[in-house]
Amino acid sequence: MDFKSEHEAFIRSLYRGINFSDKIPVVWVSSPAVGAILAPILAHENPITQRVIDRAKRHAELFVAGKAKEVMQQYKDALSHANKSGAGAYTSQPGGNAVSRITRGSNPATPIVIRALAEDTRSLLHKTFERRVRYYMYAFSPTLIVYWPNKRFVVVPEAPKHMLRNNNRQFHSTTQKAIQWADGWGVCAINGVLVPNPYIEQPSTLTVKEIKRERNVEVKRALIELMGYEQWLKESAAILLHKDYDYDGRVRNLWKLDEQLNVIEVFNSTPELDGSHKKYFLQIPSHIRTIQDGLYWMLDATTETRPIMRIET
Amino acid sequence: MTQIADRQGDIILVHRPDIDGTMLRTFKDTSSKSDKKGGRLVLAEGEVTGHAHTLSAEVAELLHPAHRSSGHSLLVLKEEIVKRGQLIEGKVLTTMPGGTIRFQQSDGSVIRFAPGDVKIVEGVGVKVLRGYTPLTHDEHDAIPLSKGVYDVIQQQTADTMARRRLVAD
Repeated sequence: MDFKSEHEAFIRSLYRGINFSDKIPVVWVSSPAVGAILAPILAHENPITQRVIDRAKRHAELFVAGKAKEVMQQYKDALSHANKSGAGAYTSQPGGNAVSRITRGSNPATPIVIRALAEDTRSLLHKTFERRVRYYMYAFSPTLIVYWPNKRFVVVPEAPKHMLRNNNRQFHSTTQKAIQWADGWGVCAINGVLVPNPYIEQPSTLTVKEIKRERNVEVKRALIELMGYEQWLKESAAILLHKDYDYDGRVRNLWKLDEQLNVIEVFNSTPELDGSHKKYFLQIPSHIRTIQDGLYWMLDATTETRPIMRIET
Repeated sequence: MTQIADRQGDIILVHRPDIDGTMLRTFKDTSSKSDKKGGRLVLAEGEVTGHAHTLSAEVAELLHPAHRSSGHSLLVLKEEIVKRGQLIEGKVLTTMPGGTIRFQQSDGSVIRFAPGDVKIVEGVGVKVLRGYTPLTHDEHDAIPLSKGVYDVIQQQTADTMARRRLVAD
């Protein structure tokens, strides 16, 4: 059985399991962004025919592609035609036309569509859907199948075109979207933490000022890792907590990163081919205030079990 | 009892002279296909670089505790590849404070000896006073390990959510 058939069969079994009809259309879309727009549109359509699905899908795809104005114009044209002719899909339902139904609909996803229609701001659209997708991704990972279930239909995005992970199986890429769908929409992540796409796709937008403005601590730390500790510590005027020297006389520093973490700056004692020594930055909990304690914390060593280092390379 | 350890990058090997055969039997020999590659036993592989800490698989075994989360892995070195008394050709690069010697062998690789491991023979290289098997890595000097049992500890750091995770090498 192929991927789509397998999932459709699974979805229909879920519906049967909760005594809902399983004879519902399963609508496949090119990405979760399209799904997040399509679902509330379809929720206000009745009946849901293939023609209705195809039209709504086209509109959703245009929104995601940043062409909301074109869609709005199409809605306006259809309304105008319907008003003139007294008939048509948009006004055939009780309660008014499609736009007014969307604006006063009770579907919790509707406010997202209202803002998109009213403001035509793609960045707002993206940000809002990113939050929803983030919720669904955490709920359904690692398969990344996101469903918008409704009694009368289900919207399902295709599998992502690619998913990039680190060795801990966390979504991760420093150069492109970590998860991307065929229509180009996707999300960026550093070690499993979702970060705003521009910082990965246009690295020049990542500045110390932008990082300091970030309120989410995990995102902030991920952005610091992305920028690089050396640059961050230098440009952010970080607080130096402790300093000592390694076995070979090279300086080691302990910096405050934030309320929960400090970072140790150490050199590799083995020189590179050009004679220089590579620097490493290692995060440790903030309650550790000396470098030696930090190094032993990293070994998971208690005060009683601290070994004496014979050779270090 | 004070323990002695050697560190190579993010791997620390703690000497365990207290572990005997009886205790070793509580560990399983789980040297898997991924542990042994091309005649080398891999203690750890860098997730970022792909570089690995390796030594000869002929003389070493890697034992994992019965429950992986319950302790460190053990490296058991059954014998030494470089025997006591052997003369190794090369040159001394530097002698560190404390007497550690950085020695470049004739094949270009660099190994670091503790005081008492070797005796310098001027114009030739060093004479081995304590037999060893070298633990190698692409980015770090090799370390000479003598026959015995070692705790293999991988250095940890705190991730973005302030939880422990292994260092990304």
